[in-house]
Amino acid sequence: MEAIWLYQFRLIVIGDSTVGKSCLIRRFTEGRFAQVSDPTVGVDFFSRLVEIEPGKRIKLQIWDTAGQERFRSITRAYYRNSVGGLLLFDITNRRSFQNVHEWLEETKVHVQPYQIVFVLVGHKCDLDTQRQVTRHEAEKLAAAYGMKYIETSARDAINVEKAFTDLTRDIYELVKRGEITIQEGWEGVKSGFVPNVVHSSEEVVKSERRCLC
Amino acid sequence: MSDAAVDTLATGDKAEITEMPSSDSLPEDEVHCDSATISDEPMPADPRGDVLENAALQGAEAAAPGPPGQPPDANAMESSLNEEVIEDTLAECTDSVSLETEPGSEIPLKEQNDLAVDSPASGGAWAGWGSWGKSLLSSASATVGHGLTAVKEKAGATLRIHSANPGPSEGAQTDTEDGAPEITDAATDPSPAESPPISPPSAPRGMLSAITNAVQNTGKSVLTGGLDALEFIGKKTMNVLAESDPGFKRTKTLMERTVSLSQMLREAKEKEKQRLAQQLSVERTAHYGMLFDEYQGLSHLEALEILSNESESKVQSFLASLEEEKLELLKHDLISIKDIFAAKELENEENQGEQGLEEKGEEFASMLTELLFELHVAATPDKLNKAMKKAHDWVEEGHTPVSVDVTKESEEEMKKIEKEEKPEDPQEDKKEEKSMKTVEEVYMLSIESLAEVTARCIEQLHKVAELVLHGQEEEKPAEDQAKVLIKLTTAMCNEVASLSKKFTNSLTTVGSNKKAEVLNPMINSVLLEGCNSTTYVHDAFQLLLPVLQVSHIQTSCLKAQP
Repeated sequence: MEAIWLYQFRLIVIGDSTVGKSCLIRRFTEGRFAQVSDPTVGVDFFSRLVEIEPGKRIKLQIWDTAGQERFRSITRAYYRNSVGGLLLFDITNRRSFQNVHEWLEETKVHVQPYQIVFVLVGHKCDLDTQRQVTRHEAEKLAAAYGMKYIETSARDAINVEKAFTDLTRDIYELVKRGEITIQEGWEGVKSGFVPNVVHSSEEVVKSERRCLC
Repeated sequence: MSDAAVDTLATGDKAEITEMPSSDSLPEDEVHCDSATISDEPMPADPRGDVLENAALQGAEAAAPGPPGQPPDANAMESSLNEEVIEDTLAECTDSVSLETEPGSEIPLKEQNDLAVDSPASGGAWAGWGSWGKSLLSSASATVGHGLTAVKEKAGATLRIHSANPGPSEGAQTDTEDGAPEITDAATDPSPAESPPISPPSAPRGMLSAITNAVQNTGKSVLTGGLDALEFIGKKTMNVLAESDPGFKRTKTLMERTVSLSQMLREAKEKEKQRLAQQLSVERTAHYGMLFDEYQGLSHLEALEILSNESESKVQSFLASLEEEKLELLKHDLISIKDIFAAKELENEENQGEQGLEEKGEEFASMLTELLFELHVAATPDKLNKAMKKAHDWVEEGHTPVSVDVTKESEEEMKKIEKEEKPEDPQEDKKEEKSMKTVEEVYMLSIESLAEVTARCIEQLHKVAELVLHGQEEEKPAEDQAKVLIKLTTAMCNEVASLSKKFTNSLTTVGSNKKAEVLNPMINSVLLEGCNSTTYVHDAFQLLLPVLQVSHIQTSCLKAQP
């Protein structure tokens, strides 16, 4: 009964071109690392189930966006229906870190009236020798925007699972607390299939009791 | 490389999907009849549904003198009499539900009544008959084959008791201890409780619930070979009913004149078989939808829709900003683009020159590349080509396809394709095994391939839309692009159609030893999904119109500005 999932969360992955968005997603959804990867055109899609608690599965629908500037105006159109996002930068590329602010501002404008729960991801952490962004400053930036920060490597499979599942858990908590609600016309969170066999047998018990008294 | 990976992913997910329909269909069954669901030993979902549906059908037929399924002669010949009869029948029906006047009715019946009042009266007065027959016959048929004699005895006894004493229904009372479930069943019947009780005799109702109890508690089995038992119960019931209601006597006589209960039951069983076949194909249809989604077809369609809607509003707002003269000019341009989109059907026929099926796969790949090249968009058809190749490969067992022979493809792309073919190799090795595929496997593969190829076609159109909108250095006039897009879409649709034809051929070959009722639903379903697939592709293509219009506006404005 794998297909039973509690919710579907739509996540969007953004960040500068060549920071490794597609590779990170592929590592997460396909479990492997592609040495060569074509630049993403517009948007691409991936999905995976995540078990956040025993028996509780969340289906993640991941929108992998093109980082290239020329696609920016299309990818903007896709922000709105996401509940969560991974904002990637390359720890060996200072420029991509500096653009984080810009990315956040841009999404903020385009997702209204909704909000995206972001996690800041410092990618390519296997290339520590070429690091241009310290963990400390990244954490500081993340905290300033109320985000979590995590360093990952798609090549060495470091923290890839954690980046996605932590984000999923955080969103799940918000959904549970009612701070994020399923809304008509918004695709960010969708309710999944829940078996309702229990429901019907409850009814039976009820009527049986009433009959006998 | 991406593709192979996506495939693996999808395959992994498929297992989940197959589970879905059964759990999905459950609630529906439950609505029909809680009793079956509740019985201590639940029966498989399908047979249960069948029996019930069957019974419901039967109930309607048995009860009504002129149901739609029956030869109309009865109606035609004695229409006046029939009208009367129907009225009587209706009275009987309502009566059987509203039990206010019933003095000897036991608690369950009251409960029944209360609940019946709450439940919506769907389907009017006839529904009463349907459900009436259902509650009796569903339980009856559910027990056939298992303790038939017991059923007969018990039913007979209850009927006897009942005809002797119209008030109390002891049978029901005694059975209540373990028979509570079917009370819920009766209670959930969508009986028209609000229709006024016409005739006072409420005897049939008490008797009925007694039978229901008796029958239900005796056992559980499916409707096979127990027709005579049902017939026995049916006849008994008819007699009792007739005794307490002169109007029903006529109904009964009429019925006896037309068909026997067993015959009707057999007919109902046949109908049920057909229905089951249909139901199966419905489940499979759902399966296609799930697969289509797993191959991200829905996501691409949604993303394409987003772009299309956004483009549409851009076009509108731009038109609103123009002065009269310019507006007319631009309108003319946009309409001519629209006309090209509308002309698709004609093109379709022109292009439909049939080619040898084997060549088609390669033909398509090269055509696709060529057309995309003509579009002046940097979209590569790798994923789609791969999906097509995969589809053609499995269906042409034994026939080893030559590697994709793409004439106008750049060397880079060739390399790419070669690269991507590598991960597929292990699958190709399995080819020998594939010759032993069962019909079901061929069927599933057909549906899966259609879902995958269609998803890839839509992805391709989505990518084209993205590239047309943004990312082109040198734009080709939108009108020309529209013309190429038509060709592209037509090629895709033709390819999908030819694939589904291939699949049905393969199904026919593999399933030549199967019965028509097994094979036909599969073939129909493949053809249906093939049709749906082309519709999806075509719809996706239509979404491109505003995109091209925006593109046209952008280029013409750029031209106008300097």
